[in-house]
Amino acid sequence: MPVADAASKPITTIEAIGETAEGARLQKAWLDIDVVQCGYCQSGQIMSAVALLVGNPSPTDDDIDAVMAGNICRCGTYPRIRAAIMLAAQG
Amino acid sequence: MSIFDKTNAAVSRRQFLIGASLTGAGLVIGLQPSPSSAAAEAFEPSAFIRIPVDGKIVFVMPSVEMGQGIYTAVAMLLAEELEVTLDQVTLEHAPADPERYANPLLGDQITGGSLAIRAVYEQMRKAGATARMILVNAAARGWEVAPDTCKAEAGHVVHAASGRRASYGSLIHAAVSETVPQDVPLKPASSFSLIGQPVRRLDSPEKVNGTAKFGIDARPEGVSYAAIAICPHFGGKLRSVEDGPAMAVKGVKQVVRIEDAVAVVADNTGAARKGLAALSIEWDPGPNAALSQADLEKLAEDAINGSALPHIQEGDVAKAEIEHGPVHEFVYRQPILTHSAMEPMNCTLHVRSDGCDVWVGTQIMGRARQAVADVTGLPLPKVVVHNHLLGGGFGRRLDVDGVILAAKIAKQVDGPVKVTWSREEDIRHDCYRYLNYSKVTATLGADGMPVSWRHRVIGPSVMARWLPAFTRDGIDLDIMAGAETPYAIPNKYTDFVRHEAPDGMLTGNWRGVGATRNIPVIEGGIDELAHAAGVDPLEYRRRLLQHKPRLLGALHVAAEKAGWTTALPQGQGRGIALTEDFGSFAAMISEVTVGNDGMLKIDRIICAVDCGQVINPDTVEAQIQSGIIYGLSAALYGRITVHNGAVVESNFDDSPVLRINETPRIEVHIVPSSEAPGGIGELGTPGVAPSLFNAIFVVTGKRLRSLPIDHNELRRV
Repeated sequence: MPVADAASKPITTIEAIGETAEGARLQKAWLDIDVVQCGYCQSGQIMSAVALLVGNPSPTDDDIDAVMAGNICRCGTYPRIRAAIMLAAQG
Repeated sequence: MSIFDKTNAAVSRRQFLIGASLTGAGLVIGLQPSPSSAAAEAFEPSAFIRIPVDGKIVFVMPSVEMGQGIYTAVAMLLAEELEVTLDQVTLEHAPADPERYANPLLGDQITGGSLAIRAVYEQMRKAGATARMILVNAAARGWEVAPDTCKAEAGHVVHAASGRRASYGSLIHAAVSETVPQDVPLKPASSFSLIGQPVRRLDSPEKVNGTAKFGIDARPEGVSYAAIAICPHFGGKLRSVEDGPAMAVKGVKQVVRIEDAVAVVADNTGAARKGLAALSIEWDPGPNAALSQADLEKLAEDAINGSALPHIQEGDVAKAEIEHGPVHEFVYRQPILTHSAMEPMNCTLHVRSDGCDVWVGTQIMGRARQAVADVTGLPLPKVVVHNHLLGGGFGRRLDVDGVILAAKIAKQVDGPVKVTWSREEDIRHDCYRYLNYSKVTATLGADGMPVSWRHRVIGPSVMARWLPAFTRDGIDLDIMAGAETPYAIPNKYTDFVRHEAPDGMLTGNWRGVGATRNIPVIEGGIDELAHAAGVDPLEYRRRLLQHKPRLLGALHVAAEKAGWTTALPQGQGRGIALTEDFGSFAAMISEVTVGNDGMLKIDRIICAVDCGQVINPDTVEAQIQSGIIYGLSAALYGRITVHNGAVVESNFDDSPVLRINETPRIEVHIVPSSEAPGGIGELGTPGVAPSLFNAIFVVTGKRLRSLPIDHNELRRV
């Protein structure tokens, strides 16, 4: 989606995503699994994961891969991202 | 709440405390008492711990955090001996000060080479233990009891017999008069309460809620933003550029020219980038204007037979080759690689006539500071470097080319300026892992086991430029790391052909350093020999490793976890690769599926690790996963090419890295060990490519010796 499409729309960023149910669950799961390494990409990873869970509360591994493939992590936190999303999806 | 107090405030408070410590505002504890000062100030020179009257204890981190988990690990070491809980401490980035914060093994304030824990394992525990003992002695003196009747626990000194208890903060006035005890005994491993336990990273909360501050987040008051174009041709220069089109963009304030780059300075990054894009820059492509990838590869190919410096000589390889021919010969070719850290290269400076502040995330603090002093002409003490979290290092931030570039620009800008590279500039102006070729010749005895191993390494000497102490008689000791193999082969000979990149193309350290150059060759090579001998590659290695119990132990665990002896379905195969480096041992087994069409799928990677005493097992697992995924990106995709003296690739579309949907199942198994701790940040990377080579061979019979893996070579129909 081009950024221009977001003009005049409400935008939620990582700073407030914890105020949503999915965001809070995911942030907690991120801490429980200890996903982060350098951390630079993690805001984006969590935002994508929120979008995933909002649209699909019980994703499979393949669902996770499909949605999260747009976010690059050079530290290789992918295995823990999968685990954290699964944990958050369980409630 | 952040684990980091506001860095700048902490620094100024620290200076206040040092001056004020005799009045009891705080106590700075270090290992070496300063010869020039008395009492409280005496503890300042190598300060890792600061204890205020109230509030959290501050741990100053000598290494930088770039994802490897060192802040948590160092805090665990300090806390273990200081007897505090991790929620009682806050962390602070060390300032640029190699005299106090140099890595003892590297002799400089460097975070790299998987050396942090190895270097500070004892140093940090001693710092904690010394501080604890001072506090216990102070409490005991005040209570008029023997120190050995007191005990430290959770930030307090306790005298159980009388029920007295004092917080560390309440003891600092008394503690400043205590003599610093020497050679305080350290806990035996059996008494560890933190070390060896899975501890959650201290930097997680702020990295999860968006408050973590990387270099790119530095925003000093009045800062301008610069976008840059560096001459795309290595060794080229700026010929001319007209300011007009950029200055016409709203928000653009200035066009800055330096010898080989142009920067557009604006009120915001968007305007700066727009202004830069509007410019028509004419470059002088310089001496490499006609250089192509084929030229570079030809030069490297020719260098295989170039003049070589001998390194390791054991037995008599020449004699063995005559007696035990035929000689098995293979050449491995590795491409040019980028680091591609997620946080774009950036550096913010405020150059003034009386000094300079630098905001950056760097693996090499002291050198960053020196570079700015050199460019600005300011005396070193006038340059203040504010270090930050690093959005990935991988060796990229071991060089200060980005700091030098930013300083040259900032010199011409009034007020602070943040120089941020685009991804394209990053990929086209990295400190590349340059072409690395290896030629191996080996002979086998009547039993099929190797009698001789001759290994020639062809590549640049990064150490000649970067850390000359790590060279000997013209030999780069890093590029030769482990080239002789860990295997029991009676005759060995290794030599080095120095082959540099074209002038103007910076080459540097890349995750896994020497091991990622040589392990693919050794582990691919030993598999080739096992096949020639008709021996199972696991069994072959075992026979050759009877003198290497730890490597053998890791291999045993990996083989068992992988089910080495169980058959895989048609089209699947397993490959082994071993890595001994960084004071650690790893055995990796990759399982792959190769379709008849050549499509490669990596099904599972098992890695058994013996890294000695584990500090945080959770971090060991994460770092091995990380190293493996970094290695997978390189093995599957890593290849930079050059055309007209410039890098062709420019972004993640044509220089891809591994994505989550391509990530295999990774199993990490820690082999328990009480040996000294080894490094883990790079241990997982070197074995990836050769374990894939060897697995692919099992399926296809095709022996790969070059990277990245070319699917077209794997077709069977």
